[in-house]
Amino acid sequence: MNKPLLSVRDLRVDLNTRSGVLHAVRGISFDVAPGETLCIVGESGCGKSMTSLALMDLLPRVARRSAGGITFDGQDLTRRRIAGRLRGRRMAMIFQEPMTALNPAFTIGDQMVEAYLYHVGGTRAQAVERAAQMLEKVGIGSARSRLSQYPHQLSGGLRQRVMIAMALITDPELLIADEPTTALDVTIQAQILRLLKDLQKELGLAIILITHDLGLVSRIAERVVVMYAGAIVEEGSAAEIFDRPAHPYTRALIDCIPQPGRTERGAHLGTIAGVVPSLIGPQEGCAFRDRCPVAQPRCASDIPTQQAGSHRWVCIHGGRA
Amino acid sequence: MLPAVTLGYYITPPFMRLVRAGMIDALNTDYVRTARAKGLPARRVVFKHALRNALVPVVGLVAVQLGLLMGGSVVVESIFALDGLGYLAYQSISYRDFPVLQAVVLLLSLAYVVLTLLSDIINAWLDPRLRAA
Repeated sequence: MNKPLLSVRDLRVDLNTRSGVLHAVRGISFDVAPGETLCIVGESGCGKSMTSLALMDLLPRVARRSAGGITFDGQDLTRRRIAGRLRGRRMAMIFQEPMTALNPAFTIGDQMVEAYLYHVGGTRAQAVERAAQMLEKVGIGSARSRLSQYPHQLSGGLRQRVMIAMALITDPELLIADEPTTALDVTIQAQILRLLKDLQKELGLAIILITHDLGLVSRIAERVVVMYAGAIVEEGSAAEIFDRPAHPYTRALIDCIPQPGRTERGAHLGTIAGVVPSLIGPQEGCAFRDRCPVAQPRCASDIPTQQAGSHRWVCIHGGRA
Repeated sequence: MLPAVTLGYYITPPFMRLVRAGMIDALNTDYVRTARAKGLPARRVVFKHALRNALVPVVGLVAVQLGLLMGGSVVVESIFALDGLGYLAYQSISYRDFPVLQAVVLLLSLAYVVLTLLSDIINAWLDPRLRAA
């Protein structure tokens, strides 16, 4: 890979809870190249949202972030000053809940223009012009009149489009999308996904897509990072992950997707037995071993990271176990 | 001076509580997170995005409290012997001067109605979702 746009090294997020320190993200590292789509997948509570919030320095107050290094285009994101300059300008974020992510008290035009004026400057008229352009770009017709509408006058799908338009108004190089389609119904999901893909091509945008939906990943991702219990268990190109999943957890996830023609009629949908281990305190060995079908005694000690080209996984088993 | 402090002391705490509670709520909302994600400075996030939404219940309270203030001023004006509307009401009660008392009460209730109407109008301006009804 040529020079990465975003480089994350040993990122950790800890939360103080009553029963101890919860390590939500346990030292993960990854890179995002310019213009690439990286999907971070995993089940609820695996730390994927915490990761995305940590990158934008938007973590809740109870959370602490530490990192060996986070750089964006060579600039040190762990320094508040630099992060503040980049956030909302060269890196933007959209969220899961389009219904509540827009401020109900201001028109969408106000909210879009605000970021543009703050970061780019210019006159209000120019900013309004730009906002209207962006709305058209995300497929919202009669953009001018939409600008004077309030969020509660728009549907969920429209609001998510507005969020995307607003995030991209400053022409960022990186868009972090935290479950952008989870709250939308399936047809709208497909539209939003296609929109993201199109915009990516048009604007040369790098996208980090956080999701639990592997079906969605298979449609959009170039590279995939699979997280489990706050750590990365497998990373590779979309083809590697879907055709040759190496980690038992990834395989179990993929087996959970019903496939027309391959999944038998009336068969039970796949599940992974057991529950995610507690994230409080340190984790010895493989976090997945209690649910793993091929677990062995030595899974309780150190697990090696194995590598085949760009494909990496953290497991004692090599490739097909 | 002292009468003003007396009335103010009595009327301020509910506002403090309400603004505090409202801001705690507002600062934890998704739209405040969005505003921060846009890279806006903290001051702008707090005073524009959060405060505006926290103010809606406060405005409602202002109307009610101002009404209370007028009632309360009856007592305060009497104690400090201030020659105001409250004192007039107090005197007309002790002299059993019904017409004056009625006029005072009518005036106060009119003020109450106007204040409530004003608070509704201000709230509709603050929060567009309240406009439809």
